[in-house]
Amino acid sequence: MDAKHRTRGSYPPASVKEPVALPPCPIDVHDEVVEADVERDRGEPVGAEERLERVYREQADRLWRAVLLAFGSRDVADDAVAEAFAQALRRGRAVRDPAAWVWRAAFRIAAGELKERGRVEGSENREPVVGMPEPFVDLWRALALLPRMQRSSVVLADYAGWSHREIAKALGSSASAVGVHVHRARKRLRELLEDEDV
Amino acid sequence: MSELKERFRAVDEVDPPELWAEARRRAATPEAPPRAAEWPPGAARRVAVGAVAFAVFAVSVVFAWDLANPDPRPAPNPTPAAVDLAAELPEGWSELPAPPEDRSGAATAWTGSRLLVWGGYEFDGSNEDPRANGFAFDAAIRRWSELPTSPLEGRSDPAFAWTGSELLIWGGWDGGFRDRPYFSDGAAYDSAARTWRKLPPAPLAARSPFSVWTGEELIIWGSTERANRMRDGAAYDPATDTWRRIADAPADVTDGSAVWTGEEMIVFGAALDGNNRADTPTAIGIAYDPASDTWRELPASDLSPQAVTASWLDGEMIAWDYDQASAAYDPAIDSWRSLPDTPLDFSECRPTSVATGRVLLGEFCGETILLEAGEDRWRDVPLDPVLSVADCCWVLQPVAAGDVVLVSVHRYGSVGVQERRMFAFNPVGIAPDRTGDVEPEPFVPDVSRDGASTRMPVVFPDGSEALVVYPNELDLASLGVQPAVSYVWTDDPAPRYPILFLHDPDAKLTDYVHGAEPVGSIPASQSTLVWEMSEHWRTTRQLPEGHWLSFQLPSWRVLVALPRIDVVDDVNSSLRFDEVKGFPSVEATEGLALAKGFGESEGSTLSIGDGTADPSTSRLDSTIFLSPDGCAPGSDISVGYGSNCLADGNVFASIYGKRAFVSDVVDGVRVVNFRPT
Repeated sequence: MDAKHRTRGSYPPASVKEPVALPPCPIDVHDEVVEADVERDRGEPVGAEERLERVYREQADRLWRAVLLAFGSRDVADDAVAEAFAQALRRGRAVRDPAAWVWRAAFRIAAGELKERGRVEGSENREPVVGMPEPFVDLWRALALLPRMQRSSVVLADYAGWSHREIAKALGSSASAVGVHVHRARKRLRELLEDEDV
Repeated sequence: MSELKERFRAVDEVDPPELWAEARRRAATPEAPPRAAEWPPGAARRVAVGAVAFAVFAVSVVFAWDLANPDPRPAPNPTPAAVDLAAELPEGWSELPAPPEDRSGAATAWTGSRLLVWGGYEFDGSNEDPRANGFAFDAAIRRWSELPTSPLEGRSDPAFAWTGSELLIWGGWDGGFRDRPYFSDGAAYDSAARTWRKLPPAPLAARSPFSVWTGEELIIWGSTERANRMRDGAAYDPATDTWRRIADAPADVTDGSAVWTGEEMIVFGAALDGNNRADTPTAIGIAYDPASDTWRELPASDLSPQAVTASWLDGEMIAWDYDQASAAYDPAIDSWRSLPDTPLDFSECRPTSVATGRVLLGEFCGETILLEAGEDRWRDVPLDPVLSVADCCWVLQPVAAGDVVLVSVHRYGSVGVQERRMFAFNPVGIAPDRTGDVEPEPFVPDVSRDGASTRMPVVFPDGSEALVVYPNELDLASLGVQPAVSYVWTDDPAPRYPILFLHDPDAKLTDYVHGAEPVGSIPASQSTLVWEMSEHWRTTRQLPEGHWLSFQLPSWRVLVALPRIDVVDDVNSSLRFDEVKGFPSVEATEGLALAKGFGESEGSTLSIGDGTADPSTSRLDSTIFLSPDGCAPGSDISVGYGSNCLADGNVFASIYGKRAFVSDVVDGVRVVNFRPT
C-alpha cells in the first residue's frame, strides 16, 4: 500500500475526496419578474440609472439600517450602501434585479470593509450610539452579542423580511443553516432584551 | 416574536444619510481602484474580487456574462427530477441498497437524483487494485447500475467535480503498477446522456492533486505524492473546454483537504514525508483566489499536521485532527477560533469529513460524528450497533447527497470482502428547517421555583394535568413545550389525520397552506377557517386530501387535517378546543376519537424540548416526550435507554438527546400530582 493511503494503524484508510461544491443555483424566476414588473408598472421602459434611482429611493434607507444593524458601524453602512449603488450604476442594465443586487452587494461590501479594518466580532467594536432612539440602542447592543452569521441572518429575516433561501444566497450559506441561525438569534435576542442590563 | 419585530421596527426611527449623490460620484470614476468587495466589471471576466464572496455572486457573474456572451455549448440533456432524500428518509441512519463494490479513492458525485461512483479501489485487507469502471445509484428507484465504459484507465484519487451536468475526472494514481504511477489525462461523464468525452490535455505533469469546483472551473493543484512535491496547478473550464495555468503556491501540502469557500480554494493540511514527518509543527493552510490568480497563507492553526481534515460549513472551514482538536477558520475575518474537542478517542486513523448545507459528518476509525451549522458542539451519531464497527474491519465512504450523507461501507477479513452495505444519515431531525420559513414559536410555560427544584404545571392535550418537577439547572421550560395529538380518526385504523398546535395566534401559515387566503369559513365562527393544504404537507405526510380546518384560541392556532372536504362540518362540530393554563386541549365527540396509545407515537403528548411528536418535523435534540396513561400503575417499564415511567406510574417519558441529558432527566425529573381527564 502506498504511504499516502496508509492510515497509521490497523484500521483501513478511507481516502475520500472532499465533496464537490454544488453547482450554482439558477437565478430565481422572481429575479426576472422584478425587472419586468418595474418597467411594466411604469408604462414604458426606463434607463438603468433612472431605474436604479427608483430602487435607491424605495430601498436605500432600509438597506442602510439593515447594514447598520448587522455590522454595527455608520461608516461601514454609509460606505457599503454608496458603493453597492455605485457598482450597480457601473454595471447598468447587466444588473437584472437591482434591488436584490444592491442588498447582496452591500452586505458583502460591508463584510469586506470589516475585514479590511481588521475587526472582529463583539460589542466592543460597535460604535457609540449617542442620539439614537432607546429601543434601537437596546436592539443594537443585543445584536452585537450575537455571532456574525446569526446577526446578519436575523436582521435580514426580521428587519428586511427576506426568506431563508434569499438570506442563504446572500450570506454564502444554506437555507437550512439560516433557519438555525434565525431561530437561535431570536431566542438569544429575546433573552438579552429581557435583561435590563443589556 | 411580535415584541422582537416591534424592536426591529424601532430601527426605522434612525435617519440614514443621503448617499445617492455619493454613489453617482463613485460610479462616474471609471478607474476607481479595486475595492475589497468590488463586483467584477462587465467586460472583464475576472478582476480582483475581495475577501468575502458568496456563491450567489458567482451565480450573478455567470448570468451577467451570459447576457453578452451566449453559451456556445449545446443545451444539456434533460436531467432526471431531483430526489429529496431528506424528505423521503427517516431522520438519523437508515439503510439503502448496497453498492456492487464499495470504492475508496473514487470520483463521486451527487447529481440531485443519482450518486455516481467511478474508479477507486475496494480495499480487501491487502489489495488496492484501481478500477476502471463505475456505478450509479438511482435514488428514485433505489437501484444501482453500472456506468458505461469510460475512456480512462483505472485509477484512484483523481481530481473530480460535478458541474451540474458532468462528472469531471482528471489525474489519479494507478496503484503503483506502472513505472510512472500517476495519470495526466481526464474525461467527463454526462449523467443524463450516459456518455463520456475526453478532456483536452492539461498543462500539468501527471499527479493525484487537490481539487475543488468553483461553479465555473475545476481547479487542480499540487500533489498528494510525498516524494515528488508540486506547487503548480491549473483550472479547467467546461464552458470553453480549455485549461489555464494558475499561479504557483507559496507552500507545500501533501496531505489534507481542499475546500471551496465561494471565493477561494483553501488547501489545508501539511507536507509530510514517507515516514509521516511533517515540515511544520502544525497544520497549515494556503488559499488561492481565482479572481486575482493569487495565493495567500492562512494564519497558523493549532491542529496536528499528521492527520487532519476540513470541510466548508456555513461560512467557515471546519477542521479537525486525529488528536480530537477542532477549529473553525473564517475567511471573512481571516482568523481561527477553537471548537470543542471531537468526542473521539485518539487512534491511528485518518479523519475524513463531508458537509451538506447544514451539517458536517466526520468519520474516524469507523466512528461517525456530527457538527451542526451554527452550533459549536460535536455529537456522536454512531452507526453502532447496526454495523458493529468494533468488529474488524469496516471501511466507510461518506458522500454528501443533498441534505443527507450517504455512507457506503464494506467489511473485509482473511478471505477478502465479506459484506457490503450502504447507509444514509438524514439530519432532518436536528435543525428547524423542515417547515421552510415558518419558525414555530416555542411555548415556554410558567414555572415556579422551590429551592433547588423548578415546578412546571402542565396540561396534556387530552386535558390531563400534572406537575413536572426538575432540578433548576436543567431549565426544561426554556427548551419550550409543544403539545401534540397524534391523530384523530373516524375509521380505525385509517384514515388518520394530524392536529397541529401553533403557539402564536398570528402564526404565519405559509408553509402549511396553499394560497394567501382561506377557501372557506365556518359561518358561526368567523375565526374558524378552511385552508387548502400546501403541496409540501400533502406530499410529505402522504395525505390524500388537501385541506386544513383552523381554529383560533387565545394564544394558539390549531390546524386539523380534514379527511375529506365534505366532512368539514362534522369535524368542526365534533372537536372542542380549549385553553387551560396556557396549554391547548382538545375533546373529540360524535364519532371522532383521539388516538390512544403507548409512548410518544400515539395519543396525547407533550414534548419538552425541540421535538414534536411527528418524526418528520421533530428535532430530537434534548427532548422529552410525556404521555399520560402510558404506563400501567406500578409497572416498571424501562424498555430501553431513555424510556421510563415517571410519577404515579401513569406518565410515560421517552427521552432523546445526548446521553448526559438523558441521564439527567431519568435521574432528576419527576412528574407528580397527575390528574387524568
